[in-house]
Amino acid sequence: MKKDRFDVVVIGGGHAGYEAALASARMGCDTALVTFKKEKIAEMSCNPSIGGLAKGHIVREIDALGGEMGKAIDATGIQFRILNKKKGPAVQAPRAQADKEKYREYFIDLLEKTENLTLVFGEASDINTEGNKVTGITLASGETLIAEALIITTGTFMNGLIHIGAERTNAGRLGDPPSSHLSGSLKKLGLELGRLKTGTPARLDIDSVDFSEAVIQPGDEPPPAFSFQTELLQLDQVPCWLTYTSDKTHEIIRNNIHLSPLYSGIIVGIGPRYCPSLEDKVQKFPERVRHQVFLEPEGRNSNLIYPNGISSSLPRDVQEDFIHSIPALRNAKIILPGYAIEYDFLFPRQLKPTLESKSIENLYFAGQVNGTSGYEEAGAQGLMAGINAVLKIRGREPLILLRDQAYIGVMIDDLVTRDIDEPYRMFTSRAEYRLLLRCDNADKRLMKIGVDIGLLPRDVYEKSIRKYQIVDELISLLSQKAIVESDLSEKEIQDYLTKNPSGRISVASLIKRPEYNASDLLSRFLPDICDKYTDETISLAELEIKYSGYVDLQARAAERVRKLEKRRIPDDFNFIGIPGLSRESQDKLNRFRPSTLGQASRISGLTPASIAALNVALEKYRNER
Amino acid sequence: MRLDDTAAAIATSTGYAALGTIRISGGLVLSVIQQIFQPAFEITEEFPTRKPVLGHFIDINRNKPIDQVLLTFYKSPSSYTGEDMAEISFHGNPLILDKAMEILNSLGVRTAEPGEFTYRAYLYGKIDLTQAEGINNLAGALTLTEARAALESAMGGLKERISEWKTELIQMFSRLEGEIEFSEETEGTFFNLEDEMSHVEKILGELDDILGNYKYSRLLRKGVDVVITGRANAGKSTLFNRLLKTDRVIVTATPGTTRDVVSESIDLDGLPVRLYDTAGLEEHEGELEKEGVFRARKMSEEADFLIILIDGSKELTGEDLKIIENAGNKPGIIVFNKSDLSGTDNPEKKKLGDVSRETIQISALKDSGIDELKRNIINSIGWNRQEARSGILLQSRRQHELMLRFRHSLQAFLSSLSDDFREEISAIHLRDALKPLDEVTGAVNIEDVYNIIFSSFCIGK
Ligand SMILES: Cc1cc2nc3c(=O)[nH]c(=O)nc-3n(C[C@H](O)[C@H](O)[C@H](O)COP(=O)(O)OP(=O)(O)OC[C@H]3O[C@@H](n4cnc5c(N)ncnc54)[C@H](O)[C@@H]3O)c2cc1C
Ligand SMILES: Nc1nc2c(ncn2[C@@H]2O[C@H](COP(=O)(O)OP(=O)(O)OP(=O)(O)O)[C@@H](O)[C@H]2O)c(=O)[nH]1
Ligand SMILES: [Mg+2]
Repeated sequence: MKKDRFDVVVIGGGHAGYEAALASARMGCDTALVTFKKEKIAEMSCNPSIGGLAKGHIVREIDALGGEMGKAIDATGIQFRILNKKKGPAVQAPRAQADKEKYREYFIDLLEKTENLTLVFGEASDINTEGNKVTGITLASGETLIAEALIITTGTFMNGLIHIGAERTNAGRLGDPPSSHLSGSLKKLGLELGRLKTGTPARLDIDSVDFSEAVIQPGDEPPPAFSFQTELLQLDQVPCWLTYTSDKTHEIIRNNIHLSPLYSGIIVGIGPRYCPSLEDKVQKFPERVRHQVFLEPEGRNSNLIYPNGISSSLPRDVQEDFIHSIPALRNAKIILPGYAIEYDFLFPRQLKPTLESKSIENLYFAGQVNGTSGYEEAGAQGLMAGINAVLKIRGREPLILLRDQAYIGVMIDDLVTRDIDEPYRMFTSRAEYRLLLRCDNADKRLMKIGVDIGLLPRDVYEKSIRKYQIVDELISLLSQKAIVESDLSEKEIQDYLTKNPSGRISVASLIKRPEYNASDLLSRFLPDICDKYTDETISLAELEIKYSGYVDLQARAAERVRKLEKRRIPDDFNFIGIPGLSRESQDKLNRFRPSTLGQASRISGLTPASIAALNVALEKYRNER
Repeated sequence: MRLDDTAAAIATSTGYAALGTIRISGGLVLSVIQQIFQPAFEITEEFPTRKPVLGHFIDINRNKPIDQVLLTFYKSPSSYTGEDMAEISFHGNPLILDKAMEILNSLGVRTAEPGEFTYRAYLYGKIDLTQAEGINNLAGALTLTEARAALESAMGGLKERISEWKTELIQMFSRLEGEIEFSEETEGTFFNLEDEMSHVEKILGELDDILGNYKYSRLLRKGVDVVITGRANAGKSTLFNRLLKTDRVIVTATPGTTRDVVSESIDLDGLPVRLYDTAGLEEHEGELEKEGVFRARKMSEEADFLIILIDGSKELTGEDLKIIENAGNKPGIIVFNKSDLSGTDNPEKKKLGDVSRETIQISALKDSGIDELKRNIINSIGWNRQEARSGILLQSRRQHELMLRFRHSLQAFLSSLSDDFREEISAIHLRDALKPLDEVTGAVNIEDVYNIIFSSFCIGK
């Protein structure tokens, strides 16, 4: 007989789904992953790349917690770069072009051989509950699975509707069926759903592109890795290319704008403003004479080019016309048209910070179904939902990351305390403590947690501890090493030494100056030990020294806010009728039902005075108990 | 009001009361007491509650006492606000109270909003809403209508200006964040250092004007206590009546007519002045007279401005010189009265020792020199009706503190733009600069920032 009883069932084999299923199985729970098709597991629905600002940060965090995304992209990437190299280290992040097919294969293979994990192919159509608690699911085939906890990661599939001009197709993704029953099942459980939209450009035949009209964009050498566990990346990197739209392109768009389902009012879902379609760019910024188009290969041996920047839902023939008006794409052959997709999502304020539904016990949601967008955002939520589902059924304390601890914490906190009305994407500016949440220190911030929950091998964590011991040792060496007059040039003495009454300065204080870098100063003032330290160690020490004052300031500010985070609001607390709170604020609190005072303070429109009133009401509630 | 913070306010209306009291309420109270209060007798056990303790208020920066005080500590929840609370009674000088507030501010104690303690009391269920509103109205009452009107009209102006600054800074923030977040995927620049610097400088200039006007707001809110002092029979009561334009107090040719302090409000070119007539400073035998002189002296000590009145028709006496000397360096003017009487020396030539005060001559009886006296008082207090009426006035100490904080962080932001510019560091300063404004207009919603970025720049591959 087929196995039908699991601790945890995950619906959806996308980026949220694989992280959730892997976390659950690796933590020792009997896990099933239910998804439509095996060959579409870990499919990148849109651009063939992982990382970038904030998103790259998230991948490092997933990796430090013991998730898989970082290792997967290191294994299957074809080009690696650090973005924002001209800016400070807190706002730099890795980005990679993926080999989409290899990426899928990596996960299919890994999931198949993971212990405690069963793959089930088919459509999940109903959620079964008893009282307010999940008991399992029913598949479209009629089969049922029994589960203690259920994680829904269905991406853009629920009631997915694809638009290409006036053509409309029910689909979860081009070439995939939609998930047409699940929305109804969720609504029956009393959950509130909304509608969002996103889009993707056409895919082009690589042999039909004229690269002589484009500028080459190579990767960085050496290629920077995502995973802390990747020792060294060695690969032959594949370049991307940059080209531009022309006057003609914009003219074609303008002449045909009435054919766009977006502009004719057919699409009701709100799309992401940071990923506008070319229609949007031309209409909203008429003064721009050209727009960038990045030509990204979908794999090392793929025949597909992903033209980043010209997402469109215009009719096929119009897409063909405007693509041909771009010099490098004059003869481009369109393999797949661009399209827009509308889909149902769950308003995530109905979730706890563990991603569990507030009303249905043991039901978790992760990924695009929560109104987010992007593989990294989805993967991180999947990981957190997987971890928390396991902790919950084991009766253990939940894992909630705070805003000063991880971008993942910022994201989930935003999701559960804000009204989401457009696809949510991570930006570094969403984090109040950006200097604390860097790519370089994700291991320092999160590996201990990864080890404690049992997802990260202990030796990886210990290696990181040793690394920081050496960094600290180097920092104290640099701070203690005094420089005196005879070590310096006339100008340096003028600039630094004369201002200093003691007549001596440390190497560290010179490192703080923008005009110096640590490795030069190390070989100049501490030549006998400079070989002892790796480039990584030196640059970590340099970073700590350069940011030191600011990092302390942010840490102290974060500490103050944490106090509010520690004040929990009981689940049965009544927000209605609190003295000193306006009716509007009471309703707002009642709608979001924050679980800590910190969360309450971030609900938009609540003033500090209302938070004080809430605090007092909480105190009274506690005293009366 | 924020949670978890501790607030303090001067509880007695400044100037009039014999004693000045500062109230502090909130979680930090005990730790603040430990830093600023040096008890006269050693306290071995826990700090006593509901019992006045004698000691000194310490200026922690200079490690010197600023005043001898009585401190009463009230433990939560049995205090007026329901939180830990302390009441510190000073000897009264408004300058000392201001200094004490400054010290408390430096320890992280915020200046309370008007009515905040009552509001806290209400939140903690100590009093009900109608009570709270009643107390509030009483506390906020201003007597002089013109002063009140000036303050009210200025209130709207400040809010408006703050929202303008905020809009400008949020736009700046959007350009800076756009630069950090999207410069790799977009052509062109978001954040032009020179333009941004001149924006900030413009705001700083406007801010400085407003800060400069703060003195008028203080004067309008608190009014000025002007005390007429001098020997018996100098004509103090006559001048008092003259300035009031009524026969409010008794005038006789007999020295020692006035026995107690009498006060009335007058309007000096829009400035609310509380004018005090006092008993002549003379050695006396009688109990009543002694008390009168005692009160007159005390009043002079508390005055914001002294009119030292001397009978110009008589020789200057040692008594007169002593009164001048006792005034120390308190703002004030020496006024020779009875200029209508002939046969007196030119008072300018009278020997005043090394006193460098301004002197003028008037005749209170014949109404001469009174306008000059008024002008003189107005000038030396620093009042300027024109400026006070045209500019934006900060309403309270709290707003002033807020604007000083705003200035401080804005200045830090500006200098982060000039030397060693780093986007992510400047962004921290800019966020900081916006925070004081949040308290007036509510927190910045990061979505507003994205609205600006996505509508002003073409972002997205
Ligand atoms: C057209 C399009 C354009 C996009 N553009 C962008 C972009 O520009 N930038 C960006 O960052 N992101 C973009 N994305 C989003 C990105 O692809 C998703 O954010 C990410 O893949 C979400 O991961 P997920 O795991 O939540 O869902 P998905 O990756 O969508 O995975 C969902 C999985 O669930 C399975 N599934 C669904 N319903 C059922 C069911 N009932 N039973 C069984 N299995 C089911 C599906 O088979 C699929 O495997 C785009 C997506 C699409 C489709
Ligand atoms: N000629 C003349 N007489 C004045 C003038 N001012 C006051 N006097 C007279 O001086 C006498 C004392 O005046 P008061 O105003 O009572 O003096 P005072 O300083 O209040 O006296 P005490 O209350 O006793 O301290 C009265 O007879 C007044 O009329 C003045 O300018 N010129
Ligand atoms: Mg008199």
